[in-house]
Amino acid sequence: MERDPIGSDARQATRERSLGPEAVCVLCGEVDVAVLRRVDATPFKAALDKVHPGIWTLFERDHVAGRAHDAALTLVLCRNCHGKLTFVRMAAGISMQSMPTALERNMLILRGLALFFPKLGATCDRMADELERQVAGLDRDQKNWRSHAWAK
Amino acid sequence: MTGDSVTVALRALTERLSGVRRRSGRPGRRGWPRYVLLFDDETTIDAAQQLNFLCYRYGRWRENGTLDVREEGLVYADDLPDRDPAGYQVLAAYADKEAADVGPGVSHQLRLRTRSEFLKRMVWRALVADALIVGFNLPFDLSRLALECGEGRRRYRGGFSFALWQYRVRGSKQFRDDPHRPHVCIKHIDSARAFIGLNRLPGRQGHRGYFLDLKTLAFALTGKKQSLASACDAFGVEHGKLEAERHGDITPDYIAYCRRDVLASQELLERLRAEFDRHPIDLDPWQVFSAASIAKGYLDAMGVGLPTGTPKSLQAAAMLAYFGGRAECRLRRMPVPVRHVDFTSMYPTVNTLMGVFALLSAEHLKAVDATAQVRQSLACLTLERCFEPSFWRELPCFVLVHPDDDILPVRARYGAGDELTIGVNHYQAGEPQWYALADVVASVLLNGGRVPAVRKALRLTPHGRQPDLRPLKIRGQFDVDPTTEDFFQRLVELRMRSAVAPDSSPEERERLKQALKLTANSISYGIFAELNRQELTRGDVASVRVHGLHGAFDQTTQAPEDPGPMFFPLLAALSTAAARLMLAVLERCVTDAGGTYVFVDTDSMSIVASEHGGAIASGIHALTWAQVDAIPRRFTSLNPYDRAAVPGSILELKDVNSDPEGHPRDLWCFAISAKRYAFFRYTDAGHVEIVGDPSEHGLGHLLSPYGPGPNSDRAWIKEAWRWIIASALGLPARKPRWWDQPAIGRIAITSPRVYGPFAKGQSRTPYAQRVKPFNFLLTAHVEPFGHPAGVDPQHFHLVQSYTADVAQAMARPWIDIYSGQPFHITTGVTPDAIVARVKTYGEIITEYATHPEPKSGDPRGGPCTRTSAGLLPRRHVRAAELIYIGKEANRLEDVDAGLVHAAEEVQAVYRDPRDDVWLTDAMPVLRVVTRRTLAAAVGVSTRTIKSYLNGHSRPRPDRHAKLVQLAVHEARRLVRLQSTNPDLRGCAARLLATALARTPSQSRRPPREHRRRVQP
Repeated sequence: MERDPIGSDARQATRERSLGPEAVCVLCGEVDVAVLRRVDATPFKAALDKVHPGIWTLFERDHVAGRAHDAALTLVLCRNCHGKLTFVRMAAGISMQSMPTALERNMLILRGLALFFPKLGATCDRMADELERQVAGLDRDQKNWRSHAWAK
Repeated sequence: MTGDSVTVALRALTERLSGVRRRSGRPGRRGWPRYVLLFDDETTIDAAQQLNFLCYRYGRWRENGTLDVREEGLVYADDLPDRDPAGYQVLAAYADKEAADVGPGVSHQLRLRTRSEFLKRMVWRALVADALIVGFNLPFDLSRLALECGEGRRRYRGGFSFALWQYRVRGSKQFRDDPHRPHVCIKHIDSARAFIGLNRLPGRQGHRGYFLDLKTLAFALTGKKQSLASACDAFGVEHGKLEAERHGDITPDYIAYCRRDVLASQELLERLRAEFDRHPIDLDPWQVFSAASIAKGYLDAMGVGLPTGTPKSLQAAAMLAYFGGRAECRLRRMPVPVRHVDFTSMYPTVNTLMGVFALLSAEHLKAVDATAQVRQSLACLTLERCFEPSFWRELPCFVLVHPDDDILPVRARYGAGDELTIGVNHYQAGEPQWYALADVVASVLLNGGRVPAVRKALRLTPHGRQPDLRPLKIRGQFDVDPTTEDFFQRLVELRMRSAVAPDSSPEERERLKQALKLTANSISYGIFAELNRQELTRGDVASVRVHGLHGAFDQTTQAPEDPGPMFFPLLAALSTAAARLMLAVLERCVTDAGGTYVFVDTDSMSIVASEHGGAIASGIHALTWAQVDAIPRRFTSLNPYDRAAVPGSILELKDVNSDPEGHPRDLWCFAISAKRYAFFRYTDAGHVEIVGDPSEHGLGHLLSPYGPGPNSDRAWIKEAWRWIIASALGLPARKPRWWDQPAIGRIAITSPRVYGPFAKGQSRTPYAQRVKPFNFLLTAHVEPFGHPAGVDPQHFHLVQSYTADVAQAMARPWIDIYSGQPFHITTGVTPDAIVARVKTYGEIITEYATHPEPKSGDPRGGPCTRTSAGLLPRRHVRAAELIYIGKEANRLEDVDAGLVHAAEEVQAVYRDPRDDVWLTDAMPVLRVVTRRTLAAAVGVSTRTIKSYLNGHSRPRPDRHAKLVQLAVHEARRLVRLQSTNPDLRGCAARLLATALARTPSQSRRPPREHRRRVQP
């Protein structure tokens, strides 16, 4: 459910203005301005070094319930997925700012998890599909695989 | 030379020499912003009209042009819980109970926010998201949300700047402007239009935001000033506006009423978008201010620009020859039977006849000397020749004529005041002047064949065709190809065809007809005369080059004029002159048949006629209906349109001539002066019954004396006219019951000048509780000699914050907008130092009934006065003084409301220093007289006199007249005494020789105050 439509639209408009009308990621072809970031590309590596000295990674830690609410609860996501999840969270009106009371904090943690779980569920489902495909492959190519001890 | 001396004014072409604003290339069409924030305020009904609450909707456009509402909410004033706790409780309970009217996928909770939260969470983010901010009468709504206001600057000079965001200084109770947030600036144009924009947006230079006032867009698309209710009706909105039983108190019904208003606004926005998007023009909706904007958009979309190669001297001549439409009263204060006729689409018709579109779409225009042909053509001119279409093709021509009792349009100060009006009169001038050929032809027709002395004639000829011309579809429906078709002609034909199109609904037919009519009218004349007056900051002046009769001269002005993108005086002057010629031809048809007319008004004429005709009074003969019906047939030959679309004549009898069943009826007309007339009929009981809508000219600014409510329409104007006519006829005329009420008008605080006195007295009051910009005000009209003792009548105007209760308005103090001082009003007792005697409705109507028409003569001789009645002759006038003026129609609503007390406040006047008697002769002569004597005579300080005589300032017209009178008297004395100073003697001799010295209205006796003099 969309909880802050005008906030989403303002962020969208700001990013579109910042990145231009035909923004596209040169690496993966992503066109969703919700996840694209403007980067200083000269030199690209050096710019990233400034942000994460010595480490250049496309993966980031996502604070599932918001860093201000639970700093320990993190998951590793790629930059795109991190961006997408953050955007969806903001659209749902989940503030990243620290809340003064436990009730408000817990409310936001639950909202954050509620948004994350469907994605986790979808990922689990996708992984289950993958396993199902592997089982089918084994049934086709290794018909007696179920008799092996490692399969028990 | 004979005739009355008058000051003649010519429109002059001006060019700015300093502070020229470069026209930045307009960016292409941006299109409708994806998001929309729409809101409507409800306020208290006291003087402050402060915000109680508002309803808003935020949504995104769907593909089909409807809004997907994502959020709906209520907003209350920050102080409402303290100011009106019960109202706040009702609002909170309502928000808790009612669901929001929003689309799927969002919460159905009706949000309840404070004003501050709304600005921070909604308005600011809407600006960041480039959302369209929409309202009906948006200036009023935005000014309710503001925290503070000031004067606008630069492009918003003359308007207001509103601070919506402030922050509290740490450790203090002071609030300051948030430097990271913009101000919203609003500059009022008229009651339907305003420029609205941001003064700055950090990081986005030049971005003004997207503000759309539905009132403005509805006005541009319909050509009429609309209320929300009438606009909803005009565009077939499903959930139109409802009426509230009571305003001001917060009740569930009132909240529901406000929500309904926002829903109506949303649906109106959707309908306006659908209508606007049908026009294939490169304009965004917030850039459209009138039908002329759309017309210019069409020309732009067709690739029509302005022809090049026209010499400046010819443009200057055309501007000098430019006069507005002809409107005059011929038969005054005399009820007579009439037939009323008017021309079909006058300006597009004469443009088509003259081939103006070929001139407009030409690559170059050349001016060819046609003096000999024009002289010959005028010498053998007949009325019949004017009915030949080929004759009208010869009219794109400008002629330098020496007026010598010729009947020509003359813009002059005919009356006692400094008001300039245009009359078609016998005119004499000391030097040749430029006129369009059509005006000269009209002179020949009306002046018994007497041909004016033509000095020079220049005919316009088109060469080549503009290279970018391209076809388009008008309103997305009808193809027009400017390379093969005449755009003016095509628009009128399409309009006439659309009126009977069988495959569309009546509403759709009406909208289509209206769109085509507006485009045709705007494109035919107004856009070619568009000048935008820019009022500079107090103390600033701009240098302008004025192109006068004797060449150019430079002057300074506080209000230079910038030409519009299609400004082309040649075409504007040709169109209006041709329309006057058309009326002159009609006048000849009527007078040749032995008849006369009551009035003419731009494209219509009321001809004195009865069923069987006959004499009505001495010199006034009524034509028969059959004779009048024959006149339109003569104009059939001038119909330039496809006969399938526009059959018959271009002159037609109006519906007012027939009863509801379509049978001809005995129609009577009573006219007072130009544009002040009414049609009526006699009932079986012999009473007067007004037919149609009578003229509101001169009365439209007054509030209905019945007050707001079901009787608040303009019915009182019909009652007024009924009284005027019955009184003139000597019938028993019962005065309406509002007769003795004070006449009160309603104006809005639309400029800092009007707001100033209110701001001065409330600087310590919080903004929300003040009388604010765009609040409505009441205005009263002070009776002559009814001013409180010691005030300057020229600079005195009483206003008061709005109330619907007249008794309350009478009791409360009124404020003079010039001094800011409070006064009381009365309609009875003699005024004293703090009481002003104001006019009643009855006194205004009585004055109105005898409004003079000084541009015409009195049947007994002399100019028309209040007592004149009967057939008014044309006046014989001669140019005593020549002045040049800028745009004539500025701040029309302020002028109507009486907020403008001197013509120079709204009109630029230029004088050629080479012809200026004041500068060349009067000033040197007056320097001989002591300043103290002059000051006493004129009633100003010696310092002011010094300023006049040093040329630092110029006396106002009334003081100017007194000073010239003194100068003439002094000049006589100098001549008599044979002054030894030859320069001074020359000045005196010239001054005595000028027409000014012999103006009949000016006494030869010096004023009594002129006693002490200094010997030369």
